[in-house]
Amino acid sequence: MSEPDNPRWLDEVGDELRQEVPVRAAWRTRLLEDVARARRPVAGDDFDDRNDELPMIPTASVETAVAASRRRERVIVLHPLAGIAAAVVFIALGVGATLTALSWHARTLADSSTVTGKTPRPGTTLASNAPADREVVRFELSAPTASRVTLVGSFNEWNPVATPLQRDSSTGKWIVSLRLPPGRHVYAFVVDGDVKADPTAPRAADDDFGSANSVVLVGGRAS
Amino acid sequence: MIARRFRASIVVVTLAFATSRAAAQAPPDRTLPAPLSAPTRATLLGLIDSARVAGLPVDPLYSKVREGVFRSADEGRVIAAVQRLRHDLADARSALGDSVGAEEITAGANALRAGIRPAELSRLSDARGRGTDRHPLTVALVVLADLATRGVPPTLAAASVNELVARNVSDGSLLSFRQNVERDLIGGRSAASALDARTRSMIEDAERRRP
Amino acid sequence: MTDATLVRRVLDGDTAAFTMLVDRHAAACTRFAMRMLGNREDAEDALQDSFLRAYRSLARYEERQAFRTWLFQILVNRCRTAAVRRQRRQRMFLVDDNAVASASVQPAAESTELRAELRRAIDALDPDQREAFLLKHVELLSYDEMAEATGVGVSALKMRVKRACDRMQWLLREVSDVGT
Repeated sequence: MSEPDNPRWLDEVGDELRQEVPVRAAWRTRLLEDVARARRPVAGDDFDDRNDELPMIPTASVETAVAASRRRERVIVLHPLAGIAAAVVFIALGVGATLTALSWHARTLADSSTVTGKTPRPGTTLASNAPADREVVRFELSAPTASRVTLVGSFNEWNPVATPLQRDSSTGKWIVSLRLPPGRHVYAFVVDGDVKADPTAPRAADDDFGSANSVVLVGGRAS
Repeated sequence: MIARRFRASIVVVTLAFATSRAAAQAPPDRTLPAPLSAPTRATLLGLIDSARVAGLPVDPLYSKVREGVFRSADEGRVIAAVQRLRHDLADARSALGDSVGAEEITAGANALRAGIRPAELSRLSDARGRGTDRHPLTVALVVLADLATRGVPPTLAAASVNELVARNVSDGSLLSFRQNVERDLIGGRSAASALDARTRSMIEDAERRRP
Repeated sequence: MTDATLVRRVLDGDTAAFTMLVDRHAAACTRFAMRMLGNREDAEDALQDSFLRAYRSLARYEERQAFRTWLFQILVNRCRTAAVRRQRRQRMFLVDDNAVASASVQPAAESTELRAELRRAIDALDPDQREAFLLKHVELLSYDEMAEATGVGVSALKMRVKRACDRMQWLLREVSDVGT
């Protein structure tokens, strides 16, 4: 049966329906992340789940499923119960001659009181994106002549105004405590506009932009 | 009239029924900062996309871009830094093995940047073991990169850390080792001497603690 | 570079080639899913699912078939599943008439470009007819391609398209003078 020419109204309707619907960038990002984690296809592979139907959630169980998914948001899963939950401590050391004007002292502590839950299985990495896994980390420095100190790093999108340190008038130290997710973070101090690495912390090797950064590890577990 | 024709789904979907995806927390910000020009953004997004599809961690790449903007680097330099990091991430993953996590890959990339060779990362990974249950090498890699950055010859640093990892020295002890070596270097001791002494001391401690 | 070449590259380990396939086909797939399901959330879930299944099962793609058709085959199924799930959800909740009355009538922001009456007409079609209409007159598949994508015979598809057109015409004539 041959197709009759389309009436004009149908052409107009088709044209209108054919208007582009934007592909959301966030959707695309999420898809590509999932693709990166997915089972990789290989020539000759006979894997085929194109038409697999995942079990439908039975009507009566939907509320249970919703409640369960909400509970999962609050589960905090990390850290062995050993006292070495406060494993990462960088002790201030005397600084080299180039930094005699300032006495830097940065110390980070892992506050185990924020974390409860089951012991992670061995071999799990430090990485986690769940806010519920965060630990309190304290950054501290002694900079008696500074008028403004902030922290920049991978945990605050390198925003030089997002994380100011507060001056403790009794000790003269600048302090901030942040809740950071487990993992490796790169950071520096900004002291009256000058970017300084923390000389007491491990250094990050890259100095792509002229000055080195420091590394803080959160959630380091003793093996 | 409109209300009756209005489908209930639009009201109720916003209510109690949340798919597990909708209930998940918001993902980290993976956008490029505003000041970059359109051609630079396109180049960077291409680099990041290719890294993502290759299964490499992309957060360090976004962070590198933001750091560059923060430090007022020119756009060519930002692109070069991201390209370099992307290569380092891929090389680190090759050296450490496909099953390692994002943090290890990132720490491994930084170690490569510090002058540690891929073969040394592979040896470190072998020393730790490559099974899926193995303890991550993140701390060991951070310590390695730090030592190399402070002027310890990379091969010496790698040999020492390798030895400690092979003996299952804890992450906390590795960090102490780093501090002690740093203290020795500041005190004027040679790298070889400091490494040798601190490595032996750490091994002896580990032996003593063994049940 | 043809779709088939990109698929071969993906199977050879060049996963960046899949990104290119996504970027080529996402727009049309998004449009179809949005027109079929009527809301962004369901559409994006169906799209996500479709592309992931396509990726995992990519070794099953045969070059005799247009990749777009192969992809739409997956997408059509995912949209059908999504529609069934949505119907189940709708049945579960008591409809609060006050909430419904006070709720906004506006559809998702990006589809406000579509005339409201056109949107209502599409939504009013039976799902089978809507599916056939969109594949034929929006995505411009041939009947043979539609048969591959839907698993429905060509004759049945032609009947569905005709009925969809008749109904659309009638619905649209109600609102404005839609000539033949």
